[in-house]
Amino acid sequence: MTILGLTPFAWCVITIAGLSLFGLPIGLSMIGASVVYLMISGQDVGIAAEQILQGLMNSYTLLAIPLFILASEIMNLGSLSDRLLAWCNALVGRFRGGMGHVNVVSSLIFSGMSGSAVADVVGVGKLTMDMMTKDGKYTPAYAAAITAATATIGPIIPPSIPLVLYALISDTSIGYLFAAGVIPGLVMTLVMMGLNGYLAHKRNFPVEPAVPMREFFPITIRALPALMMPVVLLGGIYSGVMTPTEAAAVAALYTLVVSIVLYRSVTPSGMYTALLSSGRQMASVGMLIAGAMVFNYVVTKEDLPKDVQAWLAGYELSKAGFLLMVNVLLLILGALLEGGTILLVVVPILIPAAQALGIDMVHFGLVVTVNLMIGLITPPYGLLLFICANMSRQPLTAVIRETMPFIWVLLAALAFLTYVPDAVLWLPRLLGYKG
Amino acid sequence: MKTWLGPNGPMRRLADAVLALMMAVMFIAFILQVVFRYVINLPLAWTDEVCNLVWLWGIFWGASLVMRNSDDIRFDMVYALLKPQVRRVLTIIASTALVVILALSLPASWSYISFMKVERSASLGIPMNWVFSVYMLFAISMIVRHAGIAYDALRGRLVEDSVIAQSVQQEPA
Repeated sequence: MTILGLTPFAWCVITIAGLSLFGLPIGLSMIGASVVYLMISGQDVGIAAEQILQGLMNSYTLLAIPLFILASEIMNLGSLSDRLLAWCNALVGRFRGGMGHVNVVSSLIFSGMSGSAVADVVGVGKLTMDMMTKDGKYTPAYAAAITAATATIGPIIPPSIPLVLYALISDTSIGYLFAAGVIPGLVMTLVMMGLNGYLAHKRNFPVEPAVPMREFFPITIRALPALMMPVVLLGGIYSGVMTPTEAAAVAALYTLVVSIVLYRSVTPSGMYTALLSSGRQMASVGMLIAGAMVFNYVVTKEDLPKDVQAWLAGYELSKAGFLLMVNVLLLILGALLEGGTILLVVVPILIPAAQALGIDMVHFGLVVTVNLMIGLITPPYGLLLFICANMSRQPLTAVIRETMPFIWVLLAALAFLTYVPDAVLWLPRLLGYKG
Repeated sequence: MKTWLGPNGPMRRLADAVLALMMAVMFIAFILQVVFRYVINLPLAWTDEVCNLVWLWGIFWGASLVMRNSDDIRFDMVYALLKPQVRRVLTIIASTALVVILALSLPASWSYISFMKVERSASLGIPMNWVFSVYMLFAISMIVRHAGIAYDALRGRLVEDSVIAQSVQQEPA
């Protein structure tokens, strides 16, 4: 049935766009629009509830998400961050622009523990930002910019919530996706340290007093339990002992035990706050996933991927051309939309086309995720820009100006990762990935 | 009534505590599962199911009773730029549309959920219509909430005006 000459799917898209532009939450907009689609196309409206409920009930891997959130909440609770920062400072503080390097390296290590860029920014990011600006050593705008930029490493280095979501929509192994994130994360780290080093010389950023070697050892010991966390997590997954979901639970437990027993930094009320806060975040991501479950039913029912494929075939795109198009599309969308939305609404439509062109699904997942992370710091609507500008009490424009160079080097890293799939796939292959 | 149900009223705090408890249950169930499977070598079947149940209930419970309207992930770039009067009109339209859509879907959702009484969960044997009933809680509470938001906007008050700037801080990504 068509109404006003528009197909049910057209009405579905109009409803999503309308509701979400008018200020409704995206998950609710997707659910509402799917109901509209079902009604107009004369299908059973109960399908919406069925898709959402069955989808959530049968998505065991998604359970890793609340557990990763809980682990980073517990981590941000304790003094784990302080000890790690002391260690990072001992390691790279002595170079010019030292605190900038500390910021990058601490983000790298933290990304091995949390799966979310926002958790990194409000946790260790806030601490490093304060340390950088404390004695007026760095401008608050630069501190905010580098904190926002380095937080993008978080969901690339495993564990990663976006990669879990990607595994869901692409039917790819989480283990291999996680392994594939390691090299891209390191590449991003290197380009940002390079940029910080260059800017440090150009603008004469300060050097931190070098930590003597004999102090380095005790500082390392103090930080060691925290440093071991990525090892526990990834070791658990790759030894084949645990599923990624179980590894997430063990990681949360490990953080909790370390914080309570070794660092004595967890109080009952702190624990309650961490549980409640992760519950809220779970509900928030969960609504988005619920919306995506029923929206994906609509997309499949309409055979949309086939249309996209046919449309692309008309352009006779090569692999390289397609990847370029995907990158440009996602960068534009990433500047405007929230990452989870793009991942769950737009990417499922692109996946069949990528598969048809013979693009490796693990490689594609990393290209997409790195892209979405750059979107988090791309003006005008990069989420991390808002958070960091807000935390540093700097005008958004000042933070954006300082962030631009970081966006350029990250784009260079993205281009490298897009066109050298072997760099991404080297580690998964080493672990047995056949692709 | 207003304060009893208000932001820091006892009902709110109870809803918060239930959500925190659900998270704790999920965490503990997972740990038990890992310990029993790998340490004691005695796999448990019910822990998986408990985690799945809590995941489902936690999402809808949290979305219905714990999250404020401002906690949600929204696409407010255009919305935030508009004048309050325009925003009010758009809010009335969108919230009313959502109320109508969800209300129209209630009978079919209920018929699906009550039909699920024929199935029981695999290891705990809970009837699936009970498990899925949380969706009704969610749908009804969204109807009530958005009817309230539309009504407030109609009377010249916009719930989100004060919080829209902070909404980004709550977002997990």
